[in-house]
Amino acid sequence: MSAAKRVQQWATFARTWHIFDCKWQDPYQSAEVIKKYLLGMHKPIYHPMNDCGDVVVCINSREIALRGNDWRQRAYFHHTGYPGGATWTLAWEVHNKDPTMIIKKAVYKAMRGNLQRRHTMQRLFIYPGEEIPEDIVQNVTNQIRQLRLVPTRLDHIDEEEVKKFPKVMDYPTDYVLK
Amino acid sequence: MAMIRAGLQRLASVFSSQGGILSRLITQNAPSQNTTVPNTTKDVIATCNKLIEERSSRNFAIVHLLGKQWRVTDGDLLVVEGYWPPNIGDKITLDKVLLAATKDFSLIGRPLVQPGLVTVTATIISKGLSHTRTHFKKKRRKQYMRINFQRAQQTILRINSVEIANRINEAPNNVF
Amino acid sequence: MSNKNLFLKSAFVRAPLQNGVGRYVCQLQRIVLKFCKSHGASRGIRDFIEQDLVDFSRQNPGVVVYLKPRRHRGPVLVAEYLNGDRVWMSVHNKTHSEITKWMEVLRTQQGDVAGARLKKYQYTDYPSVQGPWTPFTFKDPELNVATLPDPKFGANNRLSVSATEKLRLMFEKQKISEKDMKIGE
Repeated sequence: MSAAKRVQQWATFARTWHIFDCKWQDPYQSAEVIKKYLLGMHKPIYHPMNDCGDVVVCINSREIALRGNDWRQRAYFHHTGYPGGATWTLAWEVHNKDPTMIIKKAVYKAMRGNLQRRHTMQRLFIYPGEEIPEDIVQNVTNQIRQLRLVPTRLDHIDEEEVKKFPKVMDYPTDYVLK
Repeated sequence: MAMIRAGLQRLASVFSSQGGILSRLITQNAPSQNTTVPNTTKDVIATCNKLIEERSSRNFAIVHLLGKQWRVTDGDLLVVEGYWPPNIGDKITLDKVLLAATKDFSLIGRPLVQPGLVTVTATIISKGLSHTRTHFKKKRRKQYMRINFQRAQQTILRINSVEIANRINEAPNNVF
Repeated sequence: MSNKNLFLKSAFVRAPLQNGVGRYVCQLQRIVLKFCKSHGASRGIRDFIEQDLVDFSRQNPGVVVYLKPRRHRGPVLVAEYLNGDRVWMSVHNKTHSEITKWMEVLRTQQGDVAGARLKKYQYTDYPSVQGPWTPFTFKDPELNVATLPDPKFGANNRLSVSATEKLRLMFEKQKISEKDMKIGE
């Protein structure tokens, strides 16, 4: 194809590297969004036979938040293949052993169980904290927005904002708070 | 606190949308501080009217025809299926325009664009029958097998022109 | 898996020589009606020739009509088009009205349309007017200079206003502003 057409093709089919902060997010809810970007379903040029999936880098996977009693009750199954090799491990045990496992399993589960799944999972990078290798951070061009609100801690709010906030009532000066 | 700030910002943007509601129609417009963004709705409409009069670029439109929506520009072919009265050689205007756009701006209808504003003309080129489609039914182990051959009437249209004929808000009222 | 591609070719929609862009030209070049003068199967075509053929040829001056009476052979319509397609159709035991309809179909077709399955129902030389989509088409240009991850681009911006925020805004609204005080004075 001509030079201009080649540039246009390269621009349209370029693979974008996205970054997603998993802090205080539900892994199963975020997995639905991450899977969309990994498969390329957020693009108008999507087709299952067209290799249009993007790369997603997940950070802070140690800070994910499971719902309700899931940390204590949700169990992950693993079988080594040998007789008597079935294990059911609880979520908190899995998380302590490897903080990236829970979100990896969530994204794996969100995808369709076809032969492309393992290949698409290779495009997902998960890091437990904020440290990302240099060569990966340099590639990242877009950030995926979080789904759940990350509330600000009360002690992280500025003094001035706290003073400006309208009060309904205030304690008298000689009142002693226990 | 950051959340409260974010919420206030969003509300402020709703109350005073920068550049008017129609500014999101200008595809060249960058979302944040841009000194060339016009301030009022009238400026946006005036710019669009000037671009309409210049007629510099190719237009395309999304047209609703026979229950389906088609993206249409000058010189392209359309095949519609089913019974449709117009005959070969007839010139037709496609009136249900949902969206019309040029390289620089788009007019989005809710759901249709103003009736006299956009004219899409087409000519019927051919009316024939499609290839034979076989509808085969079988229920296994029940001795039930049916085959149905069907050919649909197909009309081929050539779109002659997609024009934004009048200025915005100045299209004649009684077009139909 | 399927062998349909062996007997059913597929093609895109095409019109010969930009037909319709400027002038429209009827694509049927000539039509040959072959029939038997005495056999019963040709009754329909014989009725058509006697009653409707002259009107047909007068209404379509650009089409050459040939008649070929052939003994002991079945009745057949052969249509030839400007793009070279040849459509052979048997009208054995067809009635006069059916033949009229088939003649109309042959007249309005632009070649052997049924010979190939259409892959798409649209054809355009200009698929993109505003430029093809790239990953940067609808993205905020500030992403180009931002160092990611950045909470400005990462936080959810589609949350609805919370009750606390709503109350605070109501409070701000009902406050007596300096302007009102001045008007009061």
